[in-house]
Amino acid sequence: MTAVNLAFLLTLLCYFVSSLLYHIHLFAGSDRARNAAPILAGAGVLLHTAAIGLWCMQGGSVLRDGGMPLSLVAYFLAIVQVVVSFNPRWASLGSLVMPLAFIAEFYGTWTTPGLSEHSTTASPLLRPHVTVLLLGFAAFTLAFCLAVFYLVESRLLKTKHLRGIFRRLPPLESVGTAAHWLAVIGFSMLTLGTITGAIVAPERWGPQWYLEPHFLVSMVAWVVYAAYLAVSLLLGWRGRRTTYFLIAGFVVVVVAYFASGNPTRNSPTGSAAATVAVGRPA
Amino acid sequence: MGAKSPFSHSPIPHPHSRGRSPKAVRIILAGLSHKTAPVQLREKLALYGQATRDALHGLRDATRMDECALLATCNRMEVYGFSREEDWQEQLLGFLAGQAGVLPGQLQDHLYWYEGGLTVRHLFRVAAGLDSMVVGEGQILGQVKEALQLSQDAGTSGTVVHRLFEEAIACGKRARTETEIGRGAVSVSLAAVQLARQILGRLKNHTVLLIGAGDTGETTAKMLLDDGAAPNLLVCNRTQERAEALAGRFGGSAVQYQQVHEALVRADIVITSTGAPHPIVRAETLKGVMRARRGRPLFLIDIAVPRDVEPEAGELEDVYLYNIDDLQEVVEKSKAERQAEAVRVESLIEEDLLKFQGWLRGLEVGPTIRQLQEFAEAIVRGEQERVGSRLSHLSERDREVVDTLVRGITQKLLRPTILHLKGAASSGNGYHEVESVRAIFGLSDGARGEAEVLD
Repeated sequence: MTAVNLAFLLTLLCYFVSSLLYHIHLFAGSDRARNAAPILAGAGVLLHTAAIGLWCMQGGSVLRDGGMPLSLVAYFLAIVQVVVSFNPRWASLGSLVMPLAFIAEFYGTWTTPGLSEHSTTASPLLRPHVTVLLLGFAAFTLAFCLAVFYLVESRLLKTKHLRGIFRRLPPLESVGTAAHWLAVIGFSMLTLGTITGAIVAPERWGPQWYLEPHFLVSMVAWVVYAAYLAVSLLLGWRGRRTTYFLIAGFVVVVVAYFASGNPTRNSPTGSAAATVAVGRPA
Repeated sequence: MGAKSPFSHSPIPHPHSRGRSPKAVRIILAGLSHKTAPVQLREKLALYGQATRDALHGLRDATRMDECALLATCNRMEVYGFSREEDWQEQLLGFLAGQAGVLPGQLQDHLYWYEGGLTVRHLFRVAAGLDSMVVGEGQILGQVKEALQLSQDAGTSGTVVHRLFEEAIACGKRARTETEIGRGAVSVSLAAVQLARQILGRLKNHTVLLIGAGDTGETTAKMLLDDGAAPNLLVCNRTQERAEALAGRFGGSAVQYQQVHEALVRADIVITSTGAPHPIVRAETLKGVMRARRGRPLFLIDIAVPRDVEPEAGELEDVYLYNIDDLQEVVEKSKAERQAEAVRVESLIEEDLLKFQGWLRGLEVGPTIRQLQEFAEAIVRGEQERVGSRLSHLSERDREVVDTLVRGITQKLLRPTILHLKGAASSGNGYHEVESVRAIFGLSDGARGEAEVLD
C-alpha cells in the first residue's frame, strides 16, 4: 500500500468514526462524543490534506481524476463541519454532514482508477470552472443538510417534543438563515460554473454541447435554485415550504453529477485527458 | 486534646454537648435557610454590601474566629469560619441573635451547625444548587463568589476560608458543566424564554411581541432582557398607558391594541399573557397574518389562563403554538431531570470533598514537617559552630565533605518520621501523629501555623 493510499484510507476511517460520534452525541446526548467527534473530523481533514497533496505531487489532479472531485467536496464538507463544531449548538449538524462527507470520500476514492495524464492545451477556464462547481456542490450539500435539520426541528416543535435531540439542535431560525445563504452561495457558484462551462464546452462537444445530458440536468438544478431564490428573495417566502426547494435542488445536483457516469471525464475538464492507471488511491 | 478526625461527619445538634481541647481548630458553619427558618426570621438576618462587611468585622471581633465569611442570600444566612474557640457555637448563636434582634432561644431551633467535612460538603452542595429552593438554580454560585469577595474586602478570609470558597465555586461550576443539574427551565416564564432562544438563537435583532402588560408579562419581559441580548420588544395591551409604561421600563415600544395585526406580522415570536376572559388571537385572524408573513414561521407562546390564543391556531401551517400546560410540562420534566441529576452531582461533590481533604491534610502535617527540618538544621548549624574552630585545619573541600556527611545523616534520621507523618495524613490520622512527633522532638506550639490542627 502506497503512502497516498494509506492517507486516503485513514481519512475514510476518521470520517466514519467521526460520523458515529456525531450520531452518539445527537441521539444519546453524549458530551464526550461531541468533544471527540470534531477531533476525529479534524484529523481526517489533515490526513485528507496530506492525501490530496501526495496525489498532486504524483502528477494527479483532484479536479479531473475519476471520483477525485467528489473527494474534494468531502474535504470541503469536513472542513466546514470542524469549524462549526466550535459552537456546541451546531455540532449536531455533523450527524448529517460527516456521513455525507464519508460517502463522498468513499465513492470518490473507490471510483478513481488511477493517475491521469492531462492535456496541457486545455482552456485556462477549465480549472476555475470545475473549482466553482465543486464549491457550489459543497454549498448545496450543506444547504440540504440544514434543510433536513429545519424540517426535523420544525416537526419536533409542532408536535411539542422538546426533549432529547431537540435540545441538541441549533436554533431553528439560524438553521433556516444558514440554509438560505448557503443556497445563495451555491447558486452563485453554479451560475458562474455554467457560464464558464458554456465558454469551454464547444471544444469538447461542438455546437450541440447544450444537449449533453449532464448539462441539461445541471440546468434543471439551476432552475430549481433560481425558483427558490425567486420565492425567498423576491416574494419574501420563508419556512418549511422553501426548504423543500433546497432538498429537491440537491437531489437534482446529485443526479446531474452522476448523469453521465463520470462527469469530470465527460465534462470539458476531462475532455483532453488520457487516463493512464498508475495506482489506485484506495 | 480532642481525638476527632478533622473530617468527622457528625452534625452537631446542640451547642452545649462537646468537650474539646481549647487548641482545636476547625472549619465550622452555623446557619439557617429556607428549609429551617420562616421568611419572617430570614429577613431579619438579610445583609447586603457594606452591611455584610460591617457584620464580618463584628463577627470576627465577637467570636475571635481566625477566619470567617458570610453567605447571605434571601434564602439563607450562613456563617463559615475557621475557629480554635471551644465555645464557638455559643458565640455564633449570640452573634446571629444580635444581628436578627431576637433572643438566642428564638433562633436556636432554626439553626444548623456543622464542622469539619460536613461544613465543606454543605458549602459544596450549596454552590452546586442542591440545597436551593429550585434545585440547580445558578444564582447561588454568584452569591457564593460574592461572599468570598466580601470576606476578602473585609479582610476576614485567610488561607482556609479562601480555599474552601474557591473549591466550592469550582465544584458548583463543575456540577453545572458536567451534569444537567442546571439545564432546563424551572418556571413557566423561563420555559417561554428558553423556547424563544431555542427557536431564534440570540434574541438580539429579533422582534418579540408581548401581548398583555400584567405581572407575568413583566416577568417574561425581564427574563427576555436579562442576558443582555435584548430583543426589539413590542408591548401591546388593552390599556395603552400600561403598555407604554412596561415598554418604557424595558426599552421597548408600545403598540396600540388596534394595531396588533400589524405587530403579529412583524414579530418573530409572540408571548401572550393577558387576563382576558376569551381568546384575543383568533385562528381566523392568524390565517390572514400568515398570508402576510408569506410562510415565515410564527411562534406563539400563550402563558395566559384563560388562553389568549384559540387552540385551532396551532393547526395552521408554520404556526407553532405553546400554551401554559405545554410549558408547565416542560418545567415538570426539567425539575424531575434535575432531581435525577442530583445523584451525579452528589458523587462529584464527594470527589471534590476528597481533594479538599487532601489539601487540608497537607496543611495539617506540613508545618510540623517544616518545623522538624528547621529543628534539625538548627542542630547541625549549632554543632558546626561549636566544633568549627577544631576543624579549621581542614581544607574548604574537606569541610564541604563533612558538611554533606552531617546533613546526610540528619536527613536519613528524619526521613522515616516525615514519611510516617505524610502517611498518617493520607490515612486521616495526621493530627494524632503530629501531636506525638511534636512531643518526641519537643517542638514548640508557636510555629505550628494556623491550619495545623483541624477538627
